[in-house]
Amino acid sequence: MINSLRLNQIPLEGPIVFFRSCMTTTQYPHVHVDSVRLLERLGYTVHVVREQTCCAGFSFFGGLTDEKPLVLSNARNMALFASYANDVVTVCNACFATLNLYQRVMEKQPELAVEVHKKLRKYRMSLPEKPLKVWHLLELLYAVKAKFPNPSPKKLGRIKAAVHTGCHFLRPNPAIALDSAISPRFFESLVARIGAKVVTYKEADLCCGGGWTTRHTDREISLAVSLQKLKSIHRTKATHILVSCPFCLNVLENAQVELEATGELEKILPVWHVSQLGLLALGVSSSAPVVR
Amino acid sequence: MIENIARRTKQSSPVVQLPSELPGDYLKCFSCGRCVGDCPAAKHSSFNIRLIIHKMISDYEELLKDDIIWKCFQCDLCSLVCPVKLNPSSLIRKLRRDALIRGYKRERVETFVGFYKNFRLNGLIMPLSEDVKYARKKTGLKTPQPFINTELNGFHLIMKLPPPFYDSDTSFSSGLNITKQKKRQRSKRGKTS
Repeated sequence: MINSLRLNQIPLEGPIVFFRSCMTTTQYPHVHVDSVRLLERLGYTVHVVREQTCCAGFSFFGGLTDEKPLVLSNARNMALFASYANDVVTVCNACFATLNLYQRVMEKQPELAVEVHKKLRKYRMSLPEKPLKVWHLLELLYAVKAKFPNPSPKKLGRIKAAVHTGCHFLRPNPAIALDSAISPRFFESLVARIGAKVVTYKEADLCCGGGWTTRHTDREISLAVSLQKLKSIHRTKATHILVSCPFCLNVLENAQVELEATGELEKILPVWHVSQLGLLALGVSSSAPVVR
Repeated sequence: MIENIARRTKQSSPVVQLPSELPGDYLKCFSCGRCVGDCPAAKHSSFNIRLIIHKMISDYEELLKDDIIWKCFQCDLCSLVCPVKLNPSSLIRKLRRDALIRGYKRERVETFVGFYKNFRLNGLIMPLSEDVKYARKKTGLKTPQPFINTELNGFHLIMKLPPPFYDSDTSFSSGLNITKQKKRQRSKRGKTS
């Protein structure tokens, strides 16, 4: 069930700030490039702010600190963004959850908010009166899906995609979720509209195995969950795994390599970020294969 | 549930005190088990939120020493299905933080400490590898420089981020102090000469 209130607020064009995720910066630059190109072709004016820091979600979710570093650094980011646009888009579930958490903390902890404003003023920065709105790339694509060509390019029909929405996109904020937080299906309908075939599989709502931190804190159980998910995908006729988050991409890609080496999986399926598929639908090839 | 635990732990009174930082809401848990049903960690290990809540009340210190709290995926499924609206994901985060503060299982978060140190230095959690630098150059991406304009863009705001809860490495603040000390020494020398 689509949350029409949220859907109607999504900007359909105009200026938007692209929030760089640590995974796209340091591991998958092609996801960054593809997402920006895709958004520009769909009618957005995309600003990438060079001075932006990472979202710092890992420090809080990894148990290292309280919310303060996350709030301070994202307040700085938002103050920087405010001169470019009123909307921020991220391609990463973790960044999306963190930026929403930042906004919740600023609302619910007025004392901390006062401290943040004070610190920003000290460095000649300020937050806008109306907080910037944070969107996930998937939400934007869903809102402007009519802009994708219909009928879609024939070669897309050869892609049979097993779709993975991920946990940290909708579940941490069910109140503002675009679709059911437990079992969302809007990603699948978007992919079908773009032109690829969608395969259904039993473990579609299962975590990729990454967790926020479990990949690093308990690798054994992380791989066990990845295997459960991947086996379920490999049982179908899927040719690709499609994700909305570069961290899920990283986990599913690396888990396949590891599990194939130990003989627990027979093959490796390519894992794509949704931006790659979106670009293909617009007749532009992805910048993915940039390897030295 | 509290009465059961009190009976099991041979306490005369069912009044249980939780550590002050933990929300008392967790006493509302009536062990319905919905949180365990679809939990990915429960399928592959003995991870069980109900047992963790039991143990939290009966033997908090032992719970913090236990590996079990590091198995949660923070997927939030349990929070969404809980009939009394508890948030086990946030409980697990609190337990992990408490464990780290008390010196347990710090080896589990070594990677994140490294990330955090990088973050405080560069604003990025990982340095760019040569391959990524090459790929970024080929795709026309500029190198991110969070602290490019130190004067105006809040370099010091980030520098003042608190260290990890238990981190004894104060190189950041001491680094700043050293530069301050040097400046003071120089100004003193200037005055004396």
